[in-house]
Amino acid sequence: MGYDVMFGKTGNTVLGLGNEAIARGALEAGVQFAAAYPGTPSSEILGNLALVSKGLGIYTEWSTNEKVAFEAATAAAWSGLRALASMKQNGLFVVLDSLINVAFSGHGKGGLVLVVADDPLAHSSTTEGDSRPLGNYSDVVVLEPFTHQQAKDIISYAFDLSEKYGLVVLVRETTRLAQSRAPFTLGEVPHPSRKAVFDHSIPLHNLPRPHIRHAELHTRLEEIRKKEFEKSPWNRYTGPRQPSLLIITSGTGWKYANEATQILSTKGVGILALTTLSPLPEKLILKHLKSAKKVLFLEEIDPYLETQIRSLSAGLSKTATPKFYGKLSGHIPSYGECNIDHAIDAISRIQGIKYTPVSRAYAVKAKEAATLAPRRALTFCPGCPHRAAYYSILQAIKKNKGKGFVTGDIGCYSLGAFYHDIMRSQLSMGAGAGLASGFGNLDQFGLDEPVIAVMGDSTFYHACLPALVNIIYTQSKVTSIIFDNRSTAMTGFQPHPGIGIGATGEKVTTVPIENLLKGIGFTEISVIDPFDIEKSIKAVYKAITATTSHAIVFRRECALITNRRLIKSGEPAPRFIVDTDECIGETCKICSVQFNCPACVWDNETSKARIDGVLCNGCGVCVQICPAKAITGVKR
Amino acid sequence: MSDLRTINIIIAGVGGQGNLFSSRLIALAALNKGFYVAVGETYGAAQRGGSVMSHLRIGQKEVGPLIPQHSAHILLGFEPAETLRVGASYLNPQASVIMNTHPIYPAEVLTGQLEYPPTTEIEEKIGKLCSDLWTLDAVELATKTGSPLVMNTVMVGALIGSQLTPLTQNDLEQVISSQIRRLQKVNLEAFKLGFKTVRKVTLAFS
Ligand code: SF4
Ligand code: SF4
Repeated sequence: MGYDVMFGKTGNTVLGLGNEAIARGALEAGVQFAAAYPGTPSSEILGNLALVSKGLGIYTEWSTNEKVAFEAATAAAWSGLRALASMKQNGLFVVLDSLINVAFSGHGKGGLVLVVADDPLAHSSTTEGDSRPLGNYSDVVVLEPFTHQQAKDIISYAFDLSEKYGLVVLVRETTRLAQSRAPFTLGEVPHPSRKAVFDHSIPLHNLPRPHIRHAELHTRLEEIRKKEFEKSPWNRYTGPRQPSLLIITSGTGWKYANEATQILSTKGVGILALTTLSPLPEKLILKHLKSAKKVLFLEEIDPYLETQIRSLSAGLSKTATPKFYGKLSGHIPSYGECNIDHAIDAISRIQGIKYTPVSRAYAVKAKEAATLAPRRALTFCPGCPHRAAYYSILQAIKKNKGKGFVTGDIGCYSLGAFYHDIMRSQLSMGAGAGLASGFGNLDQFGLDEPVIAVMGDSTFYHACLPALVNIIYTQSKVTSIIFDNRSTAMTGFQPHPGIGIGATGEKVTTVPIENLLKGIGFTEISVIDPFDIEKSIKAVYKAITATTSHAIVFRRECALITNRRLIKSGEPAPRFIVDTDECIGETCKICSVQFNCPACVWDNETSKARIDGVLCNGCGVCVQICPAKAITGVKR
Repeated sequence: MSDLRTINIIIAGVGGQGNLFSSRLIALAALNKGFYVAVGETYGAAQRGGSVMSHLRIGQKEVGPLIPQHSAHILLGFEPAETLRVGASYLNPQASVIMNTHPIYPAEVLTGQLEYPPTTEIEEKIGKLCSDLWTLDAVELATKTGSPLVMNTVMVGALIGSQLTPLTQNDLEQVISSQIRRLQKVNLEAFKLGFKTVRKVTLAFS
């Protein structure tokens, strides 16, 4: 956690994550209300605000989903406070309907800032989504900082803009800013003392004629473009008046542009770094276009600047129109990250420079050498309750003559896609249950396999509830399985409504999963410890062969949490050994290959299983599944 | 190394080895000395056991979080196969490698589905891709301090002992003392062990 950043004194230069810079920026802007749903690469923003919130009288919450987070923040802004909502790009997709409505309606006198962290290359995502065109489409203001210092400072500016023009301001960042560390200097943290007052004068709706609101909104955006962005000090140009190549960039692209031109020692390059991305400073851009013959776009994910600026250039005369390079021309890949290597490659191709950091022979040799390293596939941790749950589901399907399939969604349990390929779908949050609801109604068309929807505990609250209601309402035949590992484990163990703990660690009301299921109308609900394999297989088999919809809650805390607790308490973890005389050997391999626990090591020399005492997390599942009863606990 | 160039260091390892923490320690020491630092991290889906790579850049100029391919000056390898995998993309004939020889087997190797090559073979391949290669069993050294978990700090000691960076023993000891409360003594000891081990080799070379 960023203690140096959040508690640091004014004037200190600290080394922090981009997300920590944003969290500090929010403090310096006098934010009073912050809400978020965890999602890599955005989670540290609220995580760090929660760290200091009690002492500074700031309210923070982990909301049930991003839409709720944004709406809660809107309420605070409507009441006159400065409010922030943060999320990853998928969260913005969820927020979009509300966002467009609030853009139309306005949000009262307070400031409303939405921070969205995009994830190019989908390091921790299922898709690559770009929030800039979505912000532009939603008629909100879009800003993107290109350094850590800017990431911090821009939050105050975003709030000022939001309050001055009554617009929502979206601050976009990408993984390489959010999750990288660089120095920045801290500013003063005020003690905001605004009181929340319900503003009866401004209704938040667009009745009776939304299109009039739309027109007003466009007028305000035009005003911001002219009064603020055309001459904004946040946009920066460096280079000669008539550059041999003009690079237009936003976000991390600025650093790549600088470094690539230095590495290639190419002279006369101009770099226009844009921070105000919607509405764009059109006059400023046109002025630069006229001075350049060649323009390269360095930006993350979509060719947003490229398409906007290309269409802007349609008004230029043919001779004044430069040649454009970027994702559309194929000089930068249209997918993945826009990294330093792509920048070097594009500039060297455009400028006709040969760039060979190493000889061809060396590159070939290196590539060949790398093949020696065995792949390191992602897998569940030893002692992970998800592995045990999936193993039982597999056994139940086997028992059902191989009939049955699993739909799923986002979380640690997504690794089920690699676990004997059991998880067949991983779309958006809650989509596994939605798909299952559809599959469960296809029996009348001949579908003769039972569908099993798996969902995580945090995901259950986030987006699964409507789908589960649909399952009951439409009498769809589905087995719904909730993997309740007592945290939002994937994104760093944030709490959720089922645990009874809030964002700052305070005790709050618990909203138990089984109560909700009962309320929806599930009549068959079982809560099972997934480490009890026999009981688990039985329950899943019963569910998939039943004529009604069953719900199973597999409840067992994440192995990493158990581990931490054991380390803290000094209590020894249970230990297990394989009796090599009893182990059947090569023909079995149930513990190592089928159950696939990395701590059930296969010893090639003896052709027997062996438990690695360091890796083992002591779940005891291998003891239950070994057909030879070769694995036993050791007393300490 | 008092010139203006940026020193590019990559730490390659496996989730749970603590390399994010190590890159932060080194970066803080550099920041305290007045350098510009940038740390970029790549750790996929962040689960324990996946490949993790940190890019650490120390210099005078503001640079990006990513080191261009084949442009690392130093590769600090926490795990042999990961050192080779990352080295193949980022090493060059002038680069130096400091590598922990203690392997962490991927799950598929543990369960007998894939083979892990002999470490000597990995060393040989890496040796051909760089100008010099230091190897040490950092896990064994860490165990001497009483905790195999501080292997990462042994490796930080090894990096500083190599004298390839502008940072001194004192620079890092200060950061360790200020940043680590629990296991501070063990970490300081681990740092010294790594430092001495590589320092000895360096002296023997020169
Ligand atoms: S070795 Fe056995 S007890 Fe240990 S984590 Fe694996 S399955 Fe559980
Ligand atoms: S499950 Fe039992 S018999 Fe089978 S390989 Fe493992 S230890 Fe041996």
